[in-house]
Formats: sequence, C-alpha cells, structure tokens
Amino acid sequence: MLAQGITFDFAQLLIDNEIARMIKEVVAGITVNKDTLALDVIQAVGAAGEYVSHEHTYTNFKKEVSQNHLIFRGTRDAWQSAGSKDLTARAYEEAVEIFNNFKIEPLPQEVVSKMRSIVNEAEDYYSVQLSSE
Amino acid sequence: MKTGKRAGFRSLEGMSLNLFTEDELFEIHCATLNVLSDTGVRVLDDEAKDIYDGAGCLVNREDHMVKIPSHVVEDAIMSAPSTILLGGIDSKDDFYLKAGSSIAFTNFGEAIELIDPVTRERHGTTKKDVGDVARMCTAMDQIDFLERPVGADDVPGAVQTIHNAEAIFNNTTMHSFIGSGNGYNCGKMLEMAYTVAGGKDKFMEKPIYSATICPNSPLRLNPDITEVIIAAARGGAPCLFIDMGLAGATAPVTLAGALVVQNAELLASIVLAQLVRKGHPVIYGTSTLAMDLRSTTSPVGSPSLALISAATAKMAQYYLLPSWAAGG
Repeated sequence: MLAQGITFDFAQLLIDNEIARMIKEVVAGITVNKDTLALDVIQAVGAAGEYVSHEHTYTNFKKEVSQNHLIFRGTRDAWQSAGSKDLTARAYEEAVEIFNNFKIEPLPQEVVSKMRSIVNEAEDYYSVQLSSE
Repeated sequence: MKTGKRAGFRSLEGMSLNLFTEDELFEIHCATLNVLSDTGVRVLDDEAKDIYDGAGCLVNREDHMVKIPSHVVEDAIMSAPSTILLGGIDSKDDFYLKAGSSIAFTNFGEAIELIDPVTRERHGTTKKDVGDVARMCTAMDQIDFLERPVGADDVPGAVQTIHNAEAIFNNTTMHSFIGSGNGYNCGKMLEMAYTVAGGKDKFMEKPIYSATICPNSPLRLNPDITEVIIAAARGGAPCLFIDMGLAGATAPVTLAGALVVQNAELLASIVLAQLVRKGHPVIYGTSTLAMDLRSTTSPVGSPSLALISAATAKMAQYYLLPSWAAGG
C-alpha cells in the first residue's frame, strides 16, 4: 500500500507477495537433523571437492534455497540484456497479465440473485436509489 | 557409519523475536486490568450497556462509563478460542488461524485510491475495483485470506459496506474480512454470507466471512462498534478487532502505555463478544501507529510500528489468542 495506506497498487501487491514468501522462508529457520547436517555428504565430498553435482544438492535445493520470481538476481550485464526493466516495471507487466487472465469461478446464479435482492432491500431501508449491479 | 540416538534432544523450529519477558507481559496485563476496572470504557449503546451490566460490570447510565472487573476480563480471555476456522468460499481455501507462532499473510485494506496498472494513473475506487482487487489478491499464492482491499466509493455511503461484500463474495474463493459500519449492515452482510455458504447452519459451522471491527481510542466503544460486535457474535461471523490507537495523540506516547490502552480497548471488545456468545471466535489485532509529532502524520511503516506489531503478537500469544498486525 502506498501513501500512508491510502492507495492500492497492483505492482506493490505482487512485490509484497514475493517478500511474504521470503519472510516465510526466514521465519522457518534452520532445521538441524541428520539429513541437514549432511555429515556423510561432507565426508564423501571431502576437501577441495564440489557439491553442485551431488545428489544431496539436487534433492534439497528447491526447499532450501529461495526461488525468486520478480526480483532479478543476475548481474548488471544479464539484467541489461534482459531489457533493463526495473522491479516495478516487471511487477506491473505481470499484474496486467494476471488481471487479464485470472478468473474466479462464478457463484451459482441463484446465490448471485439472492445477494442482489439483499443489497436492494438495504437500499430500500435507507431510501437510496436501487442499484442494478 | 553409526552414530548414537539423539536422546532428549531439544530442537527449535523456525525463528522468532524475544520482545518481552513473562514478567513484563504480566505487568502490561495487570496495568490493563486496572484501567478496565478503575477507569473503564465509554459505551453509548443501551443494549451493549445491558449486556455488560448483566455480567457484573459497573455501568453508569449517566456518564456512560462501564467498569469491567478483572474476573470478567479473564473469563473472556479464557473462553475465546485459540484456533479459528476461516472458511473459504471454495473449501480449498479453508484456513486454520491459530494462536502461537504460525503466520499467515493478507493484503492491506481499506484503501480509497487505486493506481491503474496500464496507465499508471491514480483514481478513486469504485465497486468494480473492489471486485477486481479482490480477484487480484486471490491470485497471489502467498495471500491466505482477504481483507476488504478498497472501497466502493461510487455507491451511497449508507450502503457502501453491503456493496463491498457483494463485490467481494462474487470475486474471491477465499475467506474475507469486511467492515460493516453498523449492526443493520452487518446483519445484511450476514444474510449474504449465509446465502453464499449454503445456509446459516453451514455458515455457523464454517464461516466464510468475518467482521472487521476497529475500537475507538482512547477507551471508547461507540455504537457502530458495539452494534457490530453484537450482530456478528449472534450471527456467527468471527470478530477481527483491529485497534487503531495513535501513540502521542489518542494513546500515551510511550509505547508500553500505548499497549496498555490498546489492550484495554481490545479486551473490552472481546468481553462483549464473549458475553453475547461464549466461545465466539475473536482475533486480537492492531493497526496502532506512533504519531510523528513533527510532521503530524502517522506513517504506516516505521520502527515504532514494527515494535507495536511485534508486541501485539506477543500479547496475543500470552492470551493464547490469534493475532493480526496491519502494516503497509
């Protein structure tokens, strides 16, 4: 929300969504158990080895390392060759995409009509003009 | 390779903040009990006064002050549930909101302007925007339930909250939190919610909507607040209490004192809900801010806000109640 909570903005909604995901990862903390300590893996890789190609990395990286979507984590060169779009621009692009394509399954017609009649009853109660939608 | 079994091994899941000791929480609690029993809260509505009166509170019909004895407050804290089922319109979005350390996210609410994502122009919000923003929030994978995001400012003020509810129920599959403004409107919104849920019985088992209620600071429960508490508790809609104190303006400038005033307002509200329907689900919430006395603004995002939000969560944990903290 912008301007002291006065203004709603879709780009910020998407950015907040990404931040919320990261916060959940941080508060989840660090799990200490046999698998996460990975003593057998450390001993198998040994000194001057590498972990990138180890099965333990492959099976755990998705849950252990945050997967960003909007925030660009590449170098400046990579960012420039991807079009130099800042975070806000990318968030608006995706917001428009969702806005145009994300649909909610409509409620049954009789539920929609009943809600309409309840709204009209309240309008009648306050003697304001009846709305049609 | 063999290793020994971990015997009596203590592990910690997740990380959290240490803000208060038990002693400090108890001190805030006791100060609040003193405020509620000795100063009291101002309640204007007669029906609410009668309910407090019937439970052993000292009710002054002339100056409208209601003094709530400690045992009434503590009974209410005990009878309010620690876990609340927030039903989705679609049951895949059902959510258990729990006291303690589990966290969830919702959108910020109650905005009056929206930035068009294509033209980037700012405009006042309409009923169509309420539906559109509800739909956008529903698309977010990290948003667990919906708070009424923007308002239908193109309809008459008296019925705005009812139009908000209609637009939201038609445009989300999640549970929603919506303000009502008075008891009549809350009743109409409940009727709509019963329709969406498939009947009052089904709604009572699994409410798809909660009433957002903001007590007035300092120590005032105006009729628009108490009417909605009574209607929501009778009708089965969980009550989200969001206190909106302003440290330095409507509450003490010292944050501990602001927490006491906030706690008194929230507990007085929770008492009323529990007196209407024992065990009624309530959420202990805050949007209390610190006034910036130099600029006379109340920034929704500051170190004070972070502290107040964390402190509110700690108080709620202390009371075994689910909590809610607002913030831009």
